[in-house]
Amino acid sequence: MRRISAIFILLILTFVSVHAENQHNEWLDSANQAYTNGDYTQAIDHYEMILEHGYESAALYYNLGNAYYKQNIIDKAILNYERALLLKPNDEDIKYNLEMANRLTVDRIEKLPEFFLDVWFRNSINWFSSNQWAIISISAFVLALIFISIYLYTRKYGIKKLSFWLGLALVLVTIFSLIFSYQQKKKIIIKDTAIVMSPSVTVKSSPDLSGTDLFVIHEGTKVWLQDEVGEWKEIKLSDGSKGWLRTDDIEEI
Amino acid sequence: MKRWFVIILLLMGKCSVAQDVSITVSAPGVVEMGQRFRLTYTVNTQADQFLPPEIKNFTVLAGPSTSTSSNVSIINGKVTRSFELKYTYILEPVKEGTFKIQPASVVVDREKYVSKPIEIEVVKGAPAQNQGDAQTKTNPQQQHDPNVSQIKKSDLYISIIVNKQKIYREEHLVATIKLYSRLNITRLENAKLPSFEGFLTQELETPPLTSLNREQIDNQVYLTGVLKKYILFPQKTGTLTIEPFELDVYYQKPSDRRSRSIFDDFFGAYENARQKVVSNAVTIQVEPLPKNRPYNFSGAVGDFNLTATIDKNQVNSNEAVTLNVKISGNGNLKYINPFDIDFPADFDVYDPKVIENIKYSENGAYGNKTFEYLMIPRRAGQYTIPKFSFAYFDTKSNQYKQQSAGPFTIQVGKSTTDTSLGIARAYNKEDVQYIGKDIRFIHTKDTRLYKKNKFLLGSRWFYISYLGAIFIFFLVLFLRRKSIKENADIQRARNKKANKYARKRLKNAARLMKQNQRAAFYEELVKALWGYIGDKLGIPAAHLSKDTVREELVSKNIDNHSIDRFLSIIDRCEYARYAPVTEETKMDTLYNDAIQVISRLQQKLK
Repeated sequence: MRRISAIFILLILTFVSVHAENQHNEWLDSANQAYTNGDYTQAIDHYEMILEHGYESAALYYNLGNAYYKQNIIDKAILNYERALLLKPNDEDIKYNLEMANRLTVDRIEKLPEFFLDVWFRNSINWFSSNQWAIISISAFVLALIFISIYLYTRKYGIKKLSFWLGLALVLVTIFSLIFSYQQKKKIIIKDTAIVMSPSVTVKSSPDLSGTDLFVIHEGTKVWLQDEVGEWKEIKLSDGSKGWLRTDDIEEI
Repeated sequence: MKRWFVIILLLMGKCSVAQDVSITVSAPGVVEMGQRFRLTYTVNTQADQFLPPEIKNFTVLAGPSTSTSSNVSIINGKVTRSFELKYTYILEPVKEGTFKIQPASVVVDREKYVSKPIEIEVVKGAPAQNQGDAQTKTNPQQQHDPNVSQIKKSDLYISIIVNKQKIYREEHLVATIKLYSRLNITRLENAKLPSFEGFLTQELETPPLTSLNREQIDNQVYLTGVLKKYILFPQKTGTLTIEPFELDVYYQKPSDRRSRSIFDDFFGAYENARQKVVSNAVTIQVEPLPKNRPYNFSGAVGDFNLTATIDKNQVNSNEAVTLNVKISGNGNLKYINPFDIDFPADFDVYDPKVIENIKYSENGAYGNKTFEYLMIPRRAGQYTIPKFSFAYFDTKSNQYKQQSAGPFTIQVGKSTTDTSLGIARAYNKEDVQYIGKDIRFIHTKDTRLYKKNKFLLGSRWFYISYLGAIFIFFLVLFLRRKSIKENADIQRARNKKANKYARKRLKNAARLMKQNQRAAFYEELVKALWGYIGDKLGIPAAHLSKDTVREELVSKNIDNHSIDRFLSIIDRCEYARYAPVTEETKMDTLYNDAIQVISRLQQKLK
């Protein structure tokens, strides 16, 4: 009897969750429709509602960013494009629109030249999202085991040699994709970048209102978070300059 | 006195009997303290004697002086004569109040004629309304003789008058610089104009200052003149100040050296004086335009009307078409920029020709501004110039307004002279023309939603799939090992038993040989050989053949000689089984050979 009731409850829960998912998809559809009709305010409302319920996807953030862009709220547009890019790091459309939005920001910050291996490594990580890398690592692992088996059981010399090298390569793929998957996950979980949301922020030399004013940055600028003291965060710009600003002036990606 | 008598006698001779003799008196009803005025008695005939009035409370500055005028007119033979004799006093009040001047009288033909008494009100520097009437008869120059004392500020000042003090940016206002004076001005010099900082200025024409107007302000009569007039367009928001206007005024003032002479008073013992006059400063509150400005607003403020015309609706390619966009109305026309019109991409459009026709008046700038867009369509087809609109801030209703014109459709036909170009163009590919830039459209496919911060990495399924794969791998490995081991056991058993079975079969064959059962003997011998080699090499019976056996033996490094021998014995047995030949001895040698081969293989296959 207990088992039956447990199954029953489980069924109800599944039904409810399926129902909720349908509800979210309906919101998403109506938001997309509103966007198409040019009613960006309503589109924003619905997209935000889905996010409030704890659901997300790259397309959702991207669409929300588009709606904010159309409403000329550039800082939020950039924030959402960046979030979309975290979930889907190699999407052409997201990159293009982020670039468009970045052109409308006030601050032009020179980027520091980077070591080519760093860039290469980061670009490789960004080929896929965390989940995609995880799936790749599992598939590569399974394939590697299959090739190892072939290596062990075959008596033919050529096949044995081939499967040995393939298996070895796949083990490497497994390890690297695991590392990449972890890196991508870390980027999302450990929030180390943020977007300036206040129209104009004075960056101080110390986490204190009396600190020397170092420079002024404006809304839409991306900053890297370095340290935190109470209400204050230490940030770094892409040109390498560092300083402190208040937590309310920025929003983490 | 003698001359008068001569005149009187002359006139008397001509004079007929005096008809109605009258004596009238005239003087202003109200005078200011210190103001000189005239008291005049007029007699319409020659008087023998003038009995002056008793003048109290007034100082007689001059008089009585007499003047006469006579007038003879002949109309249709009828002669009409008129005659006037005037006795004039110039008086100055001594104190304030209402005073009565007793009548004067004249004696004509021994008869006495008496005038009426007159009342004069003396006020303190504030003339009554009705004085104006009296003054018109008199010389204004004398009316406004300056006081003996120094000029007061209120006697001469300049003010900057603006029609609005609170305006929107770019809205116009009119500033008038006006001179107010109660002095006898002779000359104006050294005008220093304000800088009008923060404004764009346009001067309006003002009539030349040849004569001053009379204006009444605070019950005082002033002479006024407009010095300058400007239309101002504020260019900044906030509080703007129009700095004071400065001017040197030369005027006449009575000489300090007062002479007792009557004539000095009469003809003016004046001297020139100079006074620097500084006007007031004016502050203007300039409001920014409301924030909700339309996207196409470019700063036009005022009241406008937009009309657009196109001269041709049907042209051939490479022929010019003109679009005239005309904005007329009132406001800052000068600062209206050409429109952003989305011309079809295949049109060559030149920068518009701008024709301005702007006049300035107190109502601001008005007129019209025309933009002439010259377009040359390069390809045949039907084109549309989309609707375009013009946004401006309406100062009447204080809100933004839109005016629009269009769309215009132009039918472009193929030009007859265009053929060569058309052929050439076939080889001439064009780049895609980028007309505008926008973000890309939203994603509507692949919209699966996920729970936030849900990752495959580190999740239960992630570990399960890894562990599952490893588990399956080892399971397969284990099963395989086991079956190999089992196979190996069977092999060993067969190997061990091979000799035993072979020997059993050979023994059986030997028995059959003795019984001389040939067919059975050969069969038994072949079975013994096949069975031995099959067991020994681990080849299942189904796969047993000469080729497989040879291969296996080669791989086990058995020399060719032995293999050939072994296989030839099998051949010979097979042959003997079916051959009709009957040889007893042959059975015997074959049997011995078989034993030899098996024992040799037994040694080598150990």
